[in-house]
Amino acid sequence: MAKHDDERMVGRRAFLKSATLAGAGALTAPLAVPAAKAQDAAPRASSIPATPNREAERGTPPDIQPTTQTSCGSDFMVDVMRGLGIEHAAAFVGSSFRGLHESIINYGMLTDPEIDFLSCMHEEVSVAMCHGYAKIEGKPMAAMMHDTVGLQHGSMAIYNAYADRVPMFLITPTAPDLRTRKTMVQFVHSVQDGAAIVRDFIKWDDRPGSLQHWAESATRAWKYAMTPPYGPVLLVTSIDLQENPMEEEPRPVIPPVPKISAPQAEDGALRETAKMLVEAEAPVLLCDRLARTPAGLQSLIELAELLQAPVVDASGRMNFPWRHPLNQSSRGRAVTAQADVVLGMEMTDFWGATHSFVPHTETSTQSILKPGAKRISLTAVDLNFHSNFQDFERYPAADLSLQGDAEASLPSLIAACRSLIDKNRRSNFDMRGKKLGEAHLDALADQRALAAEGWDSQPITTARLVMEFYNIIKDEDWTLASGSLFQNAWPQKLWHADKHHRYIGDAGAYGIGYAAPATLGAALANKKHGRLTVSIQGDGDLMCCPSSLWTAAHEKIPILYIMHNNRAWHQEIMLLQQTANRMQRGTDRTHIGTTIRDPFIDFSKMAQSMGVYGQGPVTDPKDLGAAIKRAVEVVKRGEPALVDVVCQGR
Amino acid sequence: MKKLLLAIILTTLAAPVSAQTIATGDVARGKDIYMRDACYTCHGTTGASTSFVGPKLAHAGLTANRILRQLRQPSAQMPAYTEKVLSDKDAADLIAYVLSLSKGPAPTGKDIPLLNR
Repeated sequence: MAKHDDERMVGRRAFLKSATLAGAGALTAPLAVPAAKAQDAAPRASSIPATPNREAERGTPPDIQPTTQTSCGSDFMVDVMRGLGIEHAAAFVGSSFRGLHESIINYGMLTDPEIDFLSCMHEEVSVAMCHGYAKIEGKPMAAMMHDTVGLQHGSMAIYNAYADRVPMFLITPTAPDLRTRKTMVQFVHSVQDGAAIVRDFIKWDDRPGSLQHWAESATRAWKYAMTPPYGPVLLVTSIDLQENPMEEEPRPVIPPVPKISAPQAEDGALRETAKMLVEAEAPVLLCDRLARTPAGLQSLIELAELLQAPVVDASGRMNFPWRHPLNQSSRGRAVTAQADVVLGMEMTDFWGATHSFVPHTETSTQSILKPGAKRISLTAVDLNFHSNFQDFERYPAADLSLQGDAEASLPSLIAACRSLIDKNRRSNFDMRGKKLGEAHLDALADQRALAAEGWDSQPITTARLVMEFYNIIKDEDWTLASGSLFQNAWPQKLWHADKHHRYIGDAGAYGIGYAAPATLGAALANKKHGRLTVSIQGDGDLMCCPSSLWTAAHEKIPILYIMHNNRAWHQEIMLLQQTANRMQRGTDRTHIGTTIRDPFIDFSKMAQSMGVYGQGPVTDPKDLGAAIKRAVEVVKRGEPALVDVVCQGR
Repeated sequence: MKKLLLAIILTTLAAPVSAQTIATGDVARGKDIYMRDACYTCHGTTGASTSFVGPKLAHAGLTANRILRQLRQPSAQMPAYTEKVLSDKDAADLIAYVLSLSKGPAPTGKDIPLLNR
């Protein structure tokens, strides 16, 4: 049975409504009523007499639904959400949140400040849109998920956001009283503790029992989501609470929205860190999700230039300019191996950055650090205690561990370093910086030579793909919203990028199905800034959430998808080959289950079928630049576009 | 000393294909094998490498014996292509193709405008 079949069988929570509908004239509109738009001028009065909710709760739900009411809890919830600065709510329609749905479309979208409803075709899309949006906008948007089934659909996208330290405001409904469940469908969609499904990978949840409770929990949830380490929060919201009229007294109060102060590492530990860095012969600055905001990027530039120390960026965010002379990411392992002090800031895998190992094999591992090299860890993730999902990676064995948000801690660390640097040290630092600048240019030349191999070959190399692409967008105000791991990190190696919104990292938990909808969320955020959002889109990833294209067209979100169409789940071919050859069975059958062929997918036609401008498949590299240019023009008109490019694996 | 002995033994064991066989390897057939056995997935269709997983083969200073050793007794995470899954004849053709990828000077990228922006 389709999930929406319960729509025709179960009406609104009739028993409470029939008891409380009245007095509507006496009931007030939601708090903090914004300026009404013209469409919202209809009167809300009713002549049905009032009866207190409490009496109805003790009684038996009647079968007859009331005809009208003039207020509802979900209008109040809309006011709470927009008070928190939430501008968008994405959802795959679900009858259990129809109260909120109706409030958003008929109240939130028609009054200022507007809160927009975004139509999605899967909860993984709506949640991942929140993911990309937050990394551009620096604040959460909302996603609503049908109770139980919708939340389970959305759970992988929630885990991606959790592992990527991204705030989002999630709502899933509940019908805790069995008397309000009218059909068998509502029973199988009900759960005793809905949040338990995802509690291991969200920061906080609550199931408010009243509108006052909802307002306070929403504000608390927002505060926790926005306190580093950021993360998803969930409000399990009763269907009755959404749909019932508001009681006149006491009027629920919306708490003020707090200004968030990010946790800074302890001053003494920061001074000790500064001393170690300043006195080091070869300090190295490692980072991954350091720059939450543009200020983080600027602080890291300041620290690196002050110390003339190399930065090795794992690119979880746009932490450091890609072509800065101190950016040594292309030769990160060589630099790290020479370090005597390594500072890891918001590292996901600090251990991996300091050890050599061969992935997916049983080969032994060893530290690449020199004997005696000191490791310092600075991260807010240490303040977030969850144990079931192992996204915290291997233990990094730090000599000094600072619990605090790196971005918030950097100004104090910089000040402490500055106070320790005298003229002699400055001179030594400058010499170190000069050598690093030369090494950066050498590494760039090496990468260019590597990128030149197979430049004109077919399938098109990923280096050719990203450089043709860059050539078209480089003079625009662009964002590369997709991760670059599967394109050999060519953009980081070859492009110029020095603004925080140029790059937003990857999925967090590497759950496939992230890129298409998350980059769409980033494009939604970029729309009001007039930026060009581009996404290098894997074919396998798109097929997990193809309806992202429909949402892009339907919501008129300008985004350029460039298909990295390698017609496979490429990494899996490589891994299956390893296994097959270890078994001495050869690789001639390892395409089974790992390739996307017989038939090939025509992504251009797929895009067109959903209202998105589509071109391709482009197979000749000589045609690529012109195809991308045409698509960019479409995007600059405010529409989504897709160019299908048949590419090398990586 | 032990390591040296082991290297000699491995080299001997891993080199049943004669230099003469390799020299007469069929480049075109080798390319088919390169694609059939999915060497391209890690190393790229032109040996340009596709990621940190598969090193560059073109203009990488490889010799026939070194390629053969890597096929039969691979280091790192490359799968082993033993005689059971890759005959000596196939190996010779494959090696001929891989060596052909290095013909001509190694590209520097300096002559490609798009790479110099």
